[in-house]
Amino acid sequence: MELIVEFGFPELPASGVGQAEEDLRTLLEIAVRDAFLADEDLRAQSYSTPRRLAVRLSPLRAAQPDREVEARGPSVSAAFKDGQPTKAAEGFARSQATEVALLERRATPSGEYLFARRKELGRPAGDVLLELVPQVLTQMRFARTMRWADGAPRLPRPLVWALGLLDGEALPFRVGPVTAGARTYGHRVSAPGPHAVSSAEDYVKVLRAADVEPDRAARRQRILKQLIGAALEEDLRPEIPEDLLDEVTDLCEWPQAFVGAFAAEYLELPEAVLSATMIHHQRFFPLRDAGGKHLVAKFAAVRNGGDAGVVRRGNETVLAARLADALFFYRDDRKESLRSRRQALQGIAYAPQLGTLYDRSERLAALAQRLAELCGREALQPALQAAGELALCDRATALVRELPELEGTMAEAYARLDGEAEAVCLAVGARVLPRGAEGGLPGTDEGLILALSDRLDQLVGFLASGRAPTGSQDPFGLRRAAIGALRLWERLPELSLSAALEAATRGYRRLLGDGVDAAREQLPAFLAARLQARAEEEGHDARMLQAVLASGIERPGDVLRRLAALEEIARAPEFTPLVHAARRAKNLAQEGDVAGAQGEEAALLEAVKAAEREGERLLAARDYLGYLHRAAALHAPLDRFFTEVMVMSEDPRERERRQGILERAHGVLSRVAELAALSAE
Amino acid sequence: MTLQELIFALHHFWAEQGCYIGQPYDIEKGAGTMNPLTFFKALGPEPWRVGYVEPSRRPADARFGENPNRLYQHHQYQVILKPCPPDVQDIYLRSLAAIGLDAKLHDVRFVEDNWENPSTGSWGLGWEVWIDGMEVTQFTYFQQMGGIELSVLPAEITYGLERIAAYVQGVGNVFDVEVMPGLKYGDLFRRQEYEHSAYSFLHASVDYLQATFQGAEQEARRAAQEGLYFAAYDNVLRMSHVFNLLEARGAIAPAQRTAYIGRIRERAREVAELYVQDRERQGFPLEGRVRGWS
Repeated sequence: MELIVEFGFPELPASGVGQAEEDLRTLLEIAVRDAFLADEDLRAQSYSTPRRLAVRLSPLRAAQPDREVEARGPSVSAAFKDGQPTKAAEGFARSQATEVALLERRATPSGEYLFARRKELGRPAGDVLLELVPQVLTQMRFARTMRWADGAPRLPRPLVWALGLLDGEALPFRVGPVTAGARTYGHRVSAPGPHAVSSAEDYVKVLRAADVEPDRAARRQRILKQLIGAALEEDLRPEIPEDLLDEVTDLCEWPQAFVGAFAAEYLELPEAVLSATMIHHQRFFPLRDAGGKHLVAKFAAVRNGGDAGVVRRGNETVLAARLADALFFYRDDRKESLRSRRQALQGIAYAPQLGTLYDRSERLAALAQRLAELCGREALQPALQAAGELALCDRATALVRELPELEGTMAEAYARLDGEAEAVCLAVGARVLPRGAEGGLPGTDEGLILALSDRLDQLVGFLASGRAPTGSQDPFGLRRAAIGALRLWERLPELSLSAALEAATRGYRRLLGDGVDAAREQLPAFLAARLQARAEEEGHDARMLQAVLASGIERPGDVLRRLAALEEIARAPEFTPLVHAARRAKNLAQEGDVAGAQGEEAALLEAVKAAEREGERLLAARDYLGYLHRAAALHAPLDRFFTEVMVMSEDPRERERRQGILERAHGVLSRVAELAALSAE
Repeated sequence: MTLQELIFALHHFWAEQGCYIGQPYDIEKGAGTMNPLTFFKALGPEPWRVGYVEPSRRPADARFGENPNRLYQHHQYQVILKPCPPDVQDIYLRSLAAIGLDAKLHDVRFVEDNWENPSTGSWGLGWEVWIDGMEVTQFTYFQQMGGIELSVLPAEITYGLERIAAYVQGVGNVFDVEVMPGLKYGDLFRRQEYEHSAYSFLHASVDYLQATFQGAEQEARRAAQEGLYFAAYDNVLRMSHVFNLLEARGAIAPAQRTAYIGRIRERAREVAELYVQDRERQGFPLEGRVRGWS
């Protein structure tokens, strides 16, 4: 049999439509399988628009198969007393609609028990689905839900209609006050309906004839093609951010793209402001000239109905008002230099206990300069001082107050207009990078250092004031900040964690006193956890990562590179002897005086010293694979040592010396990763 | 269509939907939701339908009468339909047609925008309604008011009158909107916008405002102790407006903000509870009274 169900709503939040469609499909699939209504050959197809979620399932059985059901009762020892059935046994028999004499005794790992078997007759699919479909709706998880009718499950919006068809027959399931029927509704204005639907096959056809494209992927593709086509007619190229395309897909049922224009005077605004106004406020797609270089005074947008000319003119008017607003703020901001706004930062709190934005800008300037020194780039310090002081000044501008997503971008734009040094401009713009887990990284060293300073200052401040994330709650975005810090750190591999933390906590000592020590203790593990999450996402071997982390994250920017080297050598023939050597060395290793080595002892010690010398050079060059290959060469002298020498000698001095040599060998073998923790198979 | 014709048309439309056409409430407030015709009437099981214009004062949005779209005081047309009828969106679309915005010509969208007023402990889910890309209405399914979960759920429809008028008249600047033939919005309000902007941002006495906030808080509490919830609520409205002024004046540090809001919310909760208790004592007299309300 074939089933189609549709739930109709007033417009659902666009951000949740795609997920809801997927969840509904998955939950329904699971439910019909669990109800013995489907086999392996079950196929599910789903649909969604802002106003509907729908799933089509086939093939379904016409009825559940009859089944043997077995229930376990009390243990035999509890079921009989002096050969007579106890209350427990009788109660169980009654509950299974049988008699004690008909119950079966069977041994189980936990003793002998009574069992009842009965045949359960399968019910017709229609009867089962009447109960099962509404239940599925109660299992759905949405970001925000509301009460809308007594006895109905909470939903993101009230349910206004439902459709249910099983092989063309109405399946009148009920959700609160709504009873499912054999009809759907079309586009709200151009073809509202109701429209009769005769079968699952018919469903999509009926909707397409009623100005609704129910297939989300098809709708998205249609928008994409129309946008590109509409722009092409004007010899322009649309800028199409993926998330905007998704959102627009979930805001229309019958999309039609069009091109509109705005007055050229607004091109005075920085491109970032134009883009943000169009994208974030109007859901428009900015247009560039054919070469893709410059924004032009036009936009592409998508409508869901109405008269093409009226809708275009209306959208143009609205955009013009927004841009007039932005231009008003922009010109107002330009009356003063960015630098002159620094005093105003004293009136803006960063966060409770963490001082003002002015305090934070002081910390950033100091921290960035210290990090530059730690990276051996003292030459960058003057630019970093200036950038640290300027970086937050855009928070005191009208434009950033209106369009907060332009923080950083406006600092850079205003700094450039003020004639600040280009390195400083780039750094203040780069401070907010990377914007997301995959966002672009700063393109200059000043930018990298300032951005990392920003994240460290945030992490230390919030951790030190007891605001670490818990469970899925991360209200201050600390996990995101940590991921950003780690990505930045990969570009600054020589920077040590302990030194950076020392520098970052220094700036908070005046405000938080000894509280900063808590952050210094928590942060390495916090970063390690993020590294682990990221490495797992990227499909790295968890044990290998553990081995790398076990040798320390003093150089956080190097962890993934060390991991890559380890994964590489794990595929080489040296790997087994290398791990083997590391394990044997570690087992007996202990700190000790190595003076007076002779014979095989001296041979191993010499080999270790040679490996240490060459190893330092390889480590300095960050050639971890080369290092591991070099360390693997220790396995031969180690083998000979273990064959010829009795480590746990009766003579304590001899024993100390031999264990000490092994300690140094283990030191060499564990520099990139704690190899002894791995298995060689 | 002039601004006042727009208001007449909405009055007429909503009166035909069985709404009582109410009046603005004469204490400053940030939104029509705070008029007692909404704040109290949303509470409890009694049905209710109302429509009215409310001047809404938002000191932080003041722009000295220089910005074409932003105002210290704008006017909302506020509608409450309780319980929310299932076809509420269709009724709303017909109301747009009544003011010359036919959905067949225009692109009408319902874009998620949930509403929350922490000062009164109120929230709901809903949309901002866009016409051709312009936000013209806030639409909310109320869930909670004055900290109380609502037993019968109202829909709130709040039109932004100036924006709609500017759009319908095709003018880019709100001060050019025609209120009636020959009379412009700017004639009525530009000077007022300038003065309230200057007062809110530059001249309001912080000491006076803080004292007023405290005084209103005390009075709200005292009146509530006497069971006088309307009198108490007037003082809650004063607290809320004075808080908005203090904020525009830059006199509230972010760390203090939550505490101020918490103090207003506490008083709002108190009056909401008193209202429900009183209506219960009276046996919820509006239940089943007006035909077409439930």
